[in-house]
Amino acid sequence: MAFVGIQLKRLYRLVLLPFILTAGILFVGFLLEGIWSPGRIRPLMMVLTQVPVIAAGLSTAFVLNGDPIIELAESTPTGWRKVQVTRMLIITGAFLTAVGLLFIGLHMMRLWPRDMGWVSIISPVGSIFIVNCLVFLIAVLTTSMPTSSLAPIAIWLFLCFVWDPYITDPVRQRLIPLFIAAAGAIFGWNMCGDAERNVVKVAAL
Amino acid sequence: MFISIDHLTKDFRGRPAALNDLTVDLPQGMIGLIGPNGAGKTTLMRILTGIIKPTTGKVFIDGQDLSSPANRRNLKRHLGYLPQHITPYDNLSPLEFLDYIGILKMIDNKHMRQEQTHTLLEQVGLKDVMNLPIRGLSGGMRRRVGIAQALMGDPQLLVVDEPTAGLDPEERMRFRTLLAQLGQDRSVILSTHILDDVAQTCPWVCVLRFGRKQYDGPTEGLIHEAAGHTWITPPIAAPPENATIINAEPTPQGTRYRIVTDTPPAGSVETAPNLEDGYMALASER
Amino acid sequence: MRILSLVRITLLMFYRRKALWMASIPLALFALFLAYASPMSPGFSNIQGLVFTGQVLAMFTPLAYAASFSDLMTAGRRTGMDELESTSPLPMAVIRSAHVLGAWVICISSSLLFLVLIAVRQAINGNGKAILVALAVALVILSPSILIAMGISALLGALLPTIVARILAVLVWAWLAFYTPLLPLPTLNGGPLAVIGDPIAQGWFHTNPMYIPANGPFTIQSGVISLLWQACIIFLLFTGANMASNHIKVRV
Repeated sequence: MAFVGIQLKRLYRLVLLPFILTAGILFVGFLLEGIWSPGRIRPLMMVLTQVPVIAAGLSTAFVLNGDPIIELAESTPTGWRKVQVTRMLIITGAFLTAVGLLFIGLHMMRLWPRDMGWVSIISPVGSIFIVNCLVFLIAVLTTSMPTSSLAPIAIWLFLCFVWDPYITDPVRQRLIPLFIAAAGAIFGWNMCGDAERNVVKVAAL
Repeated sequence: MFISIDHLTKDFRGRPAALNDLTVDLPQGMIGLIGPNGAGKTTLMRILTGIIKPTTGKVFIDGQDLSSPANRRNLKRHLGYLPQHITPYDNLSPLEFLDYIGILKMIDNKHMRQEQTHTLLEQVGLKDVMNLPIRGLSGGMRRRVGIAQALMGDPQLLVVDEPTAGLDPEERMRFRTLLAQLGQDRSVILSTHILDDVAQTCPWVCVLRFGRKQYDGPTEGLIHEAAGHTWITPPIAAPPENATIINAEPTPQGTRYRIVTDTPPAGSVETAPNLEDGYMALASER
Repeated sequence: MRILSLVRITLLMFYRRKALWMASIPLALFALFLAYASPMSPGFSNIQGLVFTGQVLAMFTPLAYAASFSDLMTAGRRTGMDELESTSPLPMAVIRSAHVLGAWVICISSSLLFLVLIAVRQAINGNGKAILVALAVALVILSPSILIAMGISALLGALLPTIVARILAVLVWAWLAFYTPLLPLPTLNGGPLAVIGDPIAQGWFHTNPMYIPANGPFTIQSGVISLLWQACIIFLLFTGANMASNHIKVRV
């Protein structure tokens, strides 16, 4: 618990970010609700509800890269993998909670785009889970901040412009990529357990 | 090059003054710049290299006022600088990196640049790895790339911040010799915490503390600060009080200390001071 | 000559950054797929198709560059190279311009390659102007977009914490490229100030714009204004980023 606490202390600004975004989007929705018709607000919300997905991926890429003490972490019983996975879970958890709240808020205001009832929550939650799992895999594979930062954009573009428009059933739309992302994360988790690789990848020889 | 620093002050917002009304004249040759962490050494070097401007005061190099942009630009043509923390672009090879620095130093003749690059890489012992990416080199090798880049363009003023940190003893001595050779006909400002490097190479030394000058003069003069105050104690159980301990040598009978003090323990033997003793004697005076 | 030597070395640096290739090639392919599959697509067999593809590339690939260049002006601060480059007699603005040019060449090369490949196919089928059009599209539609996205990223990166800068830069580009004028919120799309090449595409190449122009079809003059406007934005963004970065460096 203390370990999670210390990571939370280090990442608290990023943990707050999704909640600030959620509050901002809900505020915009609330503000426009009295001025525009839902039909006009929904396209705007379609854009705004993508913001947490991009922010989640970029935040995850940010926390999983550039730590100067990998070697030190590997020399402790905790190990680097536990540090990385904890950070990813904290960020993912924060974004999932915030996006859940966002969905509830917009759903109740009847502003969630393409709302098919409560099942539609799988769409934003699934997107964040998929993006973060794959960013974790790419961060482990490349240990490069620029590459990891580009990954969420590419994954989001794929989901947003290629996958989602063609697979419209919300469950199928998210479950298939979710399985692929989870498999990727497990692969990354395995690879991250290799202390020698972690150290050699980043430390000066 | 003769460097004259006149009432130099540098303030950073929200922090104590990095340099506080510093006035000092530095002659041509090797000059050691020493002082504790936070003394203002790096700030002084950044001002001397034209990277940052002083809050007040002036710096003259060979009579040229550095507050003029034209003079600063002119100085940079004859300047070699090795910052304390530098990670050269790691996807370039040492050869390419030095070529890049050569371009930055406005050496427009490609042939001349390449010739210098090869000579310098040989001087710092990197000839065998000059085509490998810097990413794959050891920490010491990267430091040597940094040293070589500072020497590109045959600078008349060389400012080096902790150049030997991370070098193995052999390389350290080699670089020390190289610096001493360079110091014969140009100005070299060497900032370091390794006092032995200063003692071996610098005839002139400047000590900074809290942004002010604490000593400026011949290195011998600084050593002399500890003359008559440097002692070797007999083996004793506890460290002596009211003394600055320079080193401690464990023996079966107890620990023998080298100390700088006016009141040595009974049985202590006076010894000839070195630069460390002089520096510590000066530090204990503050 | 000196600036060319500098660009040559910075080009080498960016050429060896695998991340850039890993982003730009799949993204360019992805944009090609969208350009082909889009209901608006005129196909790949005529000049219209070439211009449309260039515009789709100009909309999508900069998203990645907006996310990845937030440290363009500030990376040197972390490595100490900034300090070293500051001691060069060359102005920092020149050194940074060389870095921007080096990065831009790499960013545009994969998109340019695909455009040229399409043009070569068209040339083989008898459209003699296709290769010239592909090069022109890359220069006047694709290049400004990429440079604007890089500039937004660099400016925000110099002003804000990296992660905030990355997110904001992506959002700003998304707003610039995708925000439709049909919604009653301000947008540059549909006007001569659009940064995705609509005024140039319609004014110079006589193709259909991505967003319906608010005040009638774009003309040749609209294209000229658009290009000048984009050049101004690029200049302002990079000058701002350079100044912000220098200001912060002095504070440090």
